[in-house]
Amino acid sequence: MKISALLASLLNIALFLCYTMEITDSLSQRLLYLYVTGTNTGVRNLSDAEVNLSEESNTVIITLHPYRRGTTCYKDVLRISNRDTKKTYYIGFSVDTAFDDAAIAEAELVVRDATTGALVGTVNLRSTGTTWSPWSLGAGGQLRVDLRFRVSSDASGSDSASIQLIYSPQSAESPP
Amino acid sequence: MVERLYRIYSFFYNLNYYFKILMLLLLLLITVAVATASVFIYYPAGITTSWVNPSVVLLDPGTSGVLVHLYEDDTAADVEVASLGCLVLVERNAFIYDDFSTNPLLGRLTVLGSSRPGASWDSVNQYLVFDATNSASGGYNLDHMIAYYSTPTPSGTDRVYLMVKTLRLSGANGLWKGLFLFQDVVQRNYYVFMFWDTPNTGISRIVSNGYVRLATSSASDYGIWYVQWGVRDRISPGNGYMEYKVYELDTQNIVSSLTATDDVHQGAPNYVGFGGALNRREVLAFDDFVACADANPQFVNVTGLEFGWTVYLRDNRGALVAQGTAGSDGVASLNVLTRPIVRNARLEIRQGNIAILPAQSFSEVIGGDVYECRIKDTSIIGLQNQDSKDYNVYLRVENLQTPSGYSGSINLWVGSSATPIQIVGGSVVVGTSSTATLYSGATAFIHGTFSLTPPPSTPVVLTLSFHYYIPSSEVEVEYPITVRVHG
Repeated sequence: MKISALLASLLNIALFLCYTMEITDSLSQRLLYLYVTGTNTGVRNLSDAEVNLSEESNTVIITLHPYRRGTTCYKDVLRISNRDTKKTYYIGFSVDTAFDDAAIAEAELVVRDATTGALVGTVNLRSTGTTWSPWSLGAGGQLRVDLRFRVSSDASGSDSASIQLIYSPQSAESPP
Repeated sequence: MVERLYRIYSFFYNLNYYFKILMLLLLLLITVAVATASVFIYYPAGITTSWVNPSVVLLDPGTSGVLVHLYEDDTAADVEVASLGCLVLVERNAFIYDDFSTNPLLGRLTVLGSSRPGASWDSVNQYLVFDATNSASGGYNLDHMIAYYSTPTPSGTDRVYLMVKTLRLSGANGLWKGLFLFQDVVQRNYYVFMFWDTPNTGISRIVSNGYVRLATSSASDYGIWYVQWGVRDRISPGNGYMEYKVYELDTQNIVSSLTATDDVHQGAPNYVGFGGALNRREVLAFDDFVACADANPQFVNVTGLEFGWTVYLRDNRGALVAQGTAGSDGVASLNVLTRPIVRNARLEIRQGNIAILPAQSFSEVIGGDVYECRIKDTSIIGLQNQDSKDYNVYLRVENLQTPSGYSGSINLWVGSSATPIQIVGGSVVVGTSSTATLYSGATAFIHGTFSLTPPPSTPVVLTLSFHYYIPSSEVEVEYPITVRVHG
C-alpha cells in the first residue's frame, strides 16, 4: 500500500514537471504567433475597429463597432502564424464568456486559410464551449481570422466575450 | 527533509536486485507516458462590441409598379415587382410582304401582259422569274409585264413605300424592271419606277398606252442583285411626291436616286406590284417584295429602350441580319434593306455583353415593323449614404426560387455597376454585381430589368444581399433584400 502511494506520488510529480517544461519550451521557441495585417489594427475604418496585441503576441484585445442593423463582417482581424519549419500544429478555440446580449443575433469567428481564403471552420461566439475539430496549421502556414456579427437592435449597446486560442502539437486528444 | 530523502534512498538501497530493476522499469514507463502526454497551449483574447447606427439606409424610390416594404430601421427590404413583359410587335405596317417561299401565282399575285408572259415561280431559289425569251410581247401597256397583288392599299394610308429585289438573269440593252403603283388597274393608270440595263433610271406616269417621263437618271445594271426602293405620297400635304432609289444589294451603295412630284393619278397607289419590259428577250428575277403603309420597310424599329441598348435581329440559324442601338429617344432602327423579310426570326437586346432580353422568337419580322420593348430599367430601391465616407457597394444573389416553365431574364445592379447580377431562366449566370461607388451623402438606386415569358403564375423569388464597404477597409456590411417578381 505504501509502495503504490509512493508510485502515484512519483507519477504526479513527473507529469507536472514535464508539462511545465513543455509549455516553457513552446513559449521560448515562439512557434505560433498571433499578428495583425494592419488593416484592422489601430486604423479608423468602417466602424473604427481596433485590434491590440500584447508584446508577446499571445494575447489580443479586439474592440469592434458593428452596426446595430444588418450584418457586419470584419475580415482579416487576426492571423495565426506557424513559424515552425517542420511541425504541424492543431488549432481550436474555447469560448469562456459568450456574447449573451439579445441584440446580437449572430456572432461568429470565422477561420480561413490566409493564402487561399478557403473556409477552415467557424466558432459560435454566442455560446460557451470548446471547438476542437481540430484545424491543422502546417509548418510555415497562416490562418486568417474574420469576425462576423448580425445585430438587430433599436438602440446602441455593447457586449463582450472572452475566448482562448488553443493549439497543440497533437490532434488525437481533446483539450481538457 | 534530508531525513526523508535518506529514508527513500535507504528504501531503494535495501531492495533486492530484481525489485530495483522493476522500479527502474516503472520509472521508465512513467517517463514515456509523460513524454507522450497531451499539451495544450492557450492564448487569451477579449472581444468587445458596441453597436452603432448604420451609415447607409434603404429608401422606397416610389417607382410605379414597385412595392417596397422597408423594415429594421430601413436596413432590410421586401420588394414586389411586376414583370413588365418583353418585346411586343405593336405595328405591322407592311400590308404586302412576299419572299416567294410559296408559289405567288396561285392566287395572291396577278400577272398582266401578253398571252405568254413567261412568269414562273422558281421553287428552288424561291423567287419569281419573268422570262421574255419566248418573244412574248405587247399584250399590255407599252410591253409592260406586270405582277400586281390583289391586296389593296389600306384606306387612310398617306404614304406607300415599296421594296423589291431584282436580278437580270439574261438579256441586255434597253431592258428594264421596276415597281408599279396603280391608281386603277382596269383603266391602266399607274406610275412606274424603272431601272434599265442601259444607263438609266426613271419615274414615269402611264396613262393607258401613253407615258410621261417625270424624272430620269443615269445608272447601269451589272447583272447583280439590286434593291429597288420607292415611296409615293397619296394625299396632301405631300401629295404626288415620289422618291425612287436603287441600291446594290451586296454593298447597299445607292446607284440611283430620283424624285418627282405628279398628282395626275390621285390617290395612287391603290394597288402595287412589280414587273418589267416584256418584248426584249430578257429574263428577270424578283424577290422579297414589301409594300408598307406609312412606314419605311427599310427599317425595323424598336421603341421603349434605354439609351445604349442594342437590338440584334437574327435569322433561324442565328446569323445576324441587322442591329441597331437606341439613342436618347429610346428607339433603335435596324436596317433590313437587304433582307426585309425574316422568317423564324429572333430579336435580342443587349447592353454591351449583358443580355437585357435573351433571344425572343418571332414567326416573322418584316421591314416596317415596330416593336415595343416593355422591359424597363426599373429603380426598385434607393440607397442613401449618410456617412462622411464614400463606400463601395454591390449586390449578391443568396437564393433563387423560380416556378417551372418560365423563361426570361432578370438583371439587377447598383448605381453604375458595369456588370449586373444576371439570371436567365432558372439559372444564376452572374451571381454578384460589380461594385459601384456610393459617395458620401449621395443617393443611388438598385436597378433591375425583368422580362419573364410567359409571365409566371407564381412569383420568382430572389434573396439578395446588398453590401457596402470602405474601399481601403476589410470591414463589410450587408443588408437582406427579398425581391418577388410577378407575372
